[in-house]
Amino acid sequence: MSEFSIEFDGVSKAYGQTPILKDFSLKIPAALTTALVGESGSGKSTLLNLANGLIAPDEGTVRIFGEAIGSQDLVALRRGMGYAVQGAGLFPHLTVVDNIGLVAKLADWPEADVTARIDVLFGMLNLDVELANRYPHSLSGGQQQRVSLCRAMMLNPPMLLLDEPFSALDPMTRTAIHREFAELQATESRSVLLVTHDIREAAKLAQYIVVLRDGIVVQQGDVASVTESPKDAYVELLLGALS
Amino acid sequence: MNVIGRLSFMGRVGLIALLLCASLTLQAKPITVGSKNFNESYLLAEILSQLLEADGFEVERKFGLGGTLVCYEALLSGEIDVYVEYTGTLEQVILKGSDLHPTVDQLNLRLDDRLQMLPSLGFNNTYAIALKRRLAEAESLKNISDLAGRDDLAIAFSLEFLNREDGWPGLAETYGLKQSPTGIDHGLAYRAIDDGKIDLTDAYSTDGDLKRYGLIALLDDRQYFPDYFAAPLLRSDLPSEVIASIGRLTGRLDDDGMRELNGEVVVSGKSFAEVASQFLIDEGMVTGEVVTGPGFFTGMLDNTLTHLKLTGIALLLGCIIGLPFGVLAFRIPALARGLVYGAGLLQTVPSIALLALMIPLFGIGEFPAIVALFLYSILPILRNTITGLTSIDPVLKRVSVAIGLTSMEQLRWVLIPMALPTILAGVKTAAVISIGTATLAAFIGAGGLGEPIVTGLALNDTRLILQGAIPAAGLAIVVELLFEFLERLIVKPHMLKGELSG
Repeated sequence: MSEFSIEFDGVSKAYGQTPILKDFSLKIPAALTTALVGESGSGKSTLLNLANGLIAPDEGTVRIFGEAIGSQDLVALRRGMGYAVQGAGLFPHLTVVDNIGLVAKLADWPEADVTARIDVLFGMLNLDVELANRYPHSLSGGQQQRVSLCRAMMLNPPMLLLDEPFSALDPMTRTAIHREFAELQATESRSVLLVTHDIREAAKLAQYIVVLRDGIVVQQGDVASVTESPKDAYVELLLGALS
Repeated sequence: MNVIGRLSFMGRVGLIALLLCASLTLQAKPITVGSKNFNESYLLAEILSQLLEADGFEVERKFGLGGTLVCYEALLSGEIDVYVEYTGTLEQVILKGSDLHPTVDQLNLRLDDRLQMLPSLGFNNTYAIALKRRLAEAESLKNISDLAGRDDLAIAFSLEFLNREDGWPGLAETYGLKQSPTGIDHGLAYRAIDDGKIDLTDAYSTDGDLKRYGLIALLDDRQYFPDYFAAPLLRSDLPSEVIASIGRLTGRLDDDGMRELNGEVVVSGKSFAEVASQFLIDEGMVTGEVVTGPGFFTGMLDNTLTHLKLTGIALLLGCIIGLPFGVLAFRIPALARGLVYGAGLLQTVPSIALLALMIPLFGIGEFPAIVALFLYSILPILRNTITGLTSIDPVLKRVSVAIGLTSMEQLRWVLIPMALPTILAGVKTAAVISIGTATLAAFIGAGGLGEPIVTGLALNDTRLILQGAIPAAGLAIVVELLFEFLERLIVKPHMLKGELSG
């Protein structure tokens, strides 16, 4: 297995006349949580969508664990990458367990394995068993986001893509989920790509930080190297929130 | 919620329905008697039918067809075998000739080889301009030429009379009339004249309504109106025994006799079946008891079932085409505009015109009616399917791709279930439209609840109109309720209230 989970190699991407990335290269280390930090418009969500093939680069190559996207089945690729978004993105017509177990069922998991895995995930994220057969609209925001993380981890994928999943939560709930997630990562050492505009969250959850501005990597390194010696005023400004 | 399973189930039902339709048309056919949609034509067709039945032939009745050309086309295509036509109508409308007094022999020389007109039944039902006896006396109106310069009189003519060469245009020219009459349904004209809303209208000289409303006909003092002798028009390939049986009616009815029979129906309110039966027995052509017509509720169940069959099959076909094309248009947005535009265009064709367009393509009867209703049902189903799918929260669409669902799995597990309330609403709209439109299908011989409505309109018989209109309205309400129930059954309540925020 490659020592990098995701590699962007000379990637360019524009939406219409608006270039987002230009000859962009970045290697994201495997088996760590990496935070992509930047303001909106910095290109961080585009990078995430390139990683699971939701969008294709105009130029360049994206490699997942060393294999170029395009040379492999996209559905299989995505099933190896758990996905969670801001606002949870749960399907309103499916119950909590059906939301979580949908892909496993479609991947022909035996019923018993699905149930067992959901039990484990409920335990990991402190979800009440009574919620299992409820519909998402009757859950609190924090519960919905926990369910969303369960869904992302259902197939026990080697990689997670998280698109600001915690940003719409109230501070108390966010802190609780942060703690649960950090504990989880400590035991499972998965490759996680976390997109966030909140460097405080990045510092808390990630081991590696990439700071983006206008489609360019401003600074990257382990958490300490970025927080202790910000490279320029922009990074310092983002860090201002920490002190 | 097995949507795909339900679709393919609907597909199976539709296929069976199609096969049923096909097998119905393949059966050995009885003698099919047609009629136009006015009183006398119904009655003559019923007399023909009963005579044929008495002579041992099996008869199918396709009465109330919407006009001369519908009957003629139906005859040519073999949808019907015989109906009673008038010499003048055959000459002018079908043969496009201008002979005012054509004989049956002359007509047969020019007629399509596949058809044949038998000698006249005896009476001449020509056009007449009718008005109330009291008005005629008060205003000293006796001849049609007395109408010249009388702009104060309200004149309304049936649309057919208003537009055909031997109707109003020629009449106005012959008599130098400058009035601009309005168009009115023939069945409604008498009521309008009775209510004093109009003064004059066109009538048939043997019309029983003349008696009913105390009307008289102005004298055609310049002999403008052509002959309209009634005579059976039939397919030449009918067995000679059938033709001989029909021929027994030759010369049996003069003007007075026909007006009398018409009056039995419109004034005395007897059924066609009863009047026809009485006539045949009085003439000694048939022996036995006088038949009475069906009661108020007898026909209703049959008509309702036919109506349900027409709309049900059309709706199923609409779903079978509308749903997949809706999904296709959602996946290929470039297609959506063209499809919705095309279906919308179909919707703008007036239903009666669409039904008429079906005749040269598919003849008359249930099949063309189903095709027309099917075409109407496509748009609401197609449009709601597209709307339902496109209006799903883009985040949820993105998530369904990103978690690794295939295109079919996205549709099956996320997109269609989420669009279901909107799709169902579209199907419901199509169903209700279909039930309403299907009442017009009687004009092309499809039967259903339109049959009593069309007959009732032709006869100015409110009871008959209600016999079709009430169950049709009831059906629409029941279907509406049924869909609401269905919606509650298969759509989670929170999916209906717009709480889609996952």
